[in-house]
Amino acid sequence: MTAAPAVPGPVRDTARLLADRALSWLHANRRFGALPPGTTETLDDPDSTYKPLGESALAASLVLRDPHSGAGRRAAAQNLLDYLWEQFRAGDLLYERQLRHTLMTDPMETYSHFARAGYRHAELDRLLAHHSRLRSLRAVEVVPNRRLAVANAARVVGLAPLREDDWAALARATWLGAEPEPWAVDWMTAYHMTHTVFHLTDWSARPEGLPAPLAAYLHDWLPVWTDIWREVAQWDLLAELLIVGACLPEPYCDPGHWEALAGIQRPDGLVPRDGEPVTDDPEQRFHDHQHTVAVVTVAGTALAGRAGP
Amino acid sequence: MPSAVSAPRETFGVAADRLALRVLGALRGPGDAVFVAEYVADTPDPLSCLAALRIVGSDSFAPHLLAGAPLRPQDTAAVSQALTAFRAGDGAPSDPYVAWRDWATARLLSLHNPRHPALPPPAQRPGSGEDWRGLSDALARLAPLALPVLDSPVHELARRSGRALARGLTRAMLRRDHPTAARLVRWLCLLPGPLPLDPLAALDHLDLHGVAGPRTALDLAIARLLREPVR
Repeated sequence: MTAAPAVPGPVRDTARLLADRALSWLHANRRFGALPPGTTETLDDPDSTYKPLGESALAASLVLRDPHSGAGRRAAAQNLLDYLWEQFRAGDLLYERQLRHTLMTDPMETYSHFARAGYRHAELDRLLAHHSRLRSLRAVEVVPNRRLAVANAARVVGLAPLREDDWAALARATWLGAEPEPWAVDWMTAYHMTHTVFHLTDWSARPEGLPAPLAAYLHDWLPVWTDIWREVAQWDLLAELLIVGACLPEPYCDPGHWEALAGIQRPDGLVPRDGEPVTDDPEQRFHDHQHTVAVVTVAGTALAGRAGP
Repeated sequence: MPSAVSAPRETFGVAADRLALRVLGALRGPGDAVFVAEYVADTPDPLSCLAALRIVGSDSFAPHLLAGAPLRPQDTAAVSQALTAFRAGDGAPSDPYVAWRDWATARLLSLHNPRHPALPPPAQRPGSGEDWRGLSDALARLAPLALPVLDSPVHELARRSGRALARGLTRAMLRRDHPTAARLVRWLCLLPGPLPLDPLAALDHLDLHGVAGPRTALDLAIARLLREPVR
């Protein structure tokens, strides 16, 4: 008798289709995410376009990382990444921002999505290697899940990796690491918890990076958290939680949640962030829902990747 | 305009809340009886009081079981009367939850005084074979069975369902459904052994949030005594 697959075939297929459609939407609407002409390294409003570019880059890089991605998906992801890299002037903008702001971590974090897919910028690599030797950078005071984000970006870029016990200490310092009362969670803390898991496991590539007690904790409580945020149509957070499920050593993938996401996905691939009406204005749609579509791309890609071909 | 069907239900609910307050008082004041017999006798509406007694059912024994309150023969006679007053011809309620709650009340009566006949355990097994949500919903409806001295297939199910109960409790708390949370924390406080969460922390949290009504307050008070018995 063979063991049941960790990800049942129908759930894998739903996840892959969701991700394919979401990636198509990100690709088709990419021009709405263009940086305004004349953008410099100071980025007056980094959350409006800079951060979304990084999210799309992450999603595309994970599609390319999955060896089971078909040719069509790979071509779309590669083309999208080319476009996004161009937005950053082939990395120059990230380099200038990192050079100007020694202690900022977002240039390296954004760069890591491109580095994962083989896009490199030699001066930025030299700068980051120098920064990684500075005590000042290691001592910057950030919350623990953000520290994990920086550690994982450094790992992907190829800078001096942390020791296993450093990762364990970072994990213990997070909210999730405390194995907290599962009923004392809120919306923002739930997002932070998901990112703890994403960075420990490098977005599902290293499930073993999640300490076993935390994996067991998540198996206990993910079903409840997905249930309550699905009930109130928080689709963006539901999709983030489904990525967490795909990152576990034994994936958690309730078919009902995946079908619910598939059920609200528009024919063009858009997945609304919540239960509010979706505007008809394409530019506003992009700004309202791009994050959710990127998250759904990551979720479907991560789960399908865990399932194999 | 209230319908003929909903009117008694409302009246019974109010009467059950009043009785729950009495039981709560007896739980909090060690040695005080619930005076169930007087509750039924000293009223212009004995039907509502008997209905309330059937609704509160096994919980009317809680002060005796958990706080050492006396239980007088006239009180058990009133409970017995409540149990038989609403029975259909063959005696078996069609709703399995009602059947199990009646079973619990009759079982406590017979343990207290063998002259009262016990009822056979209902054939239906609520919640069996369901996922954690179905299981915790079913056990929440059977929270009056979460008392010491009772044992049954429902209790066996609860002992096997610590994780489902803890998930149901977490779900209810996050949804601010405090009545359901109180019923589930009561089961968790009864269960021995390791649990995926600390029921006392949840119980304290629910207590501090204030409660939805006397019957929820009663569930919480019983839960507390199951975990921290009166010495």
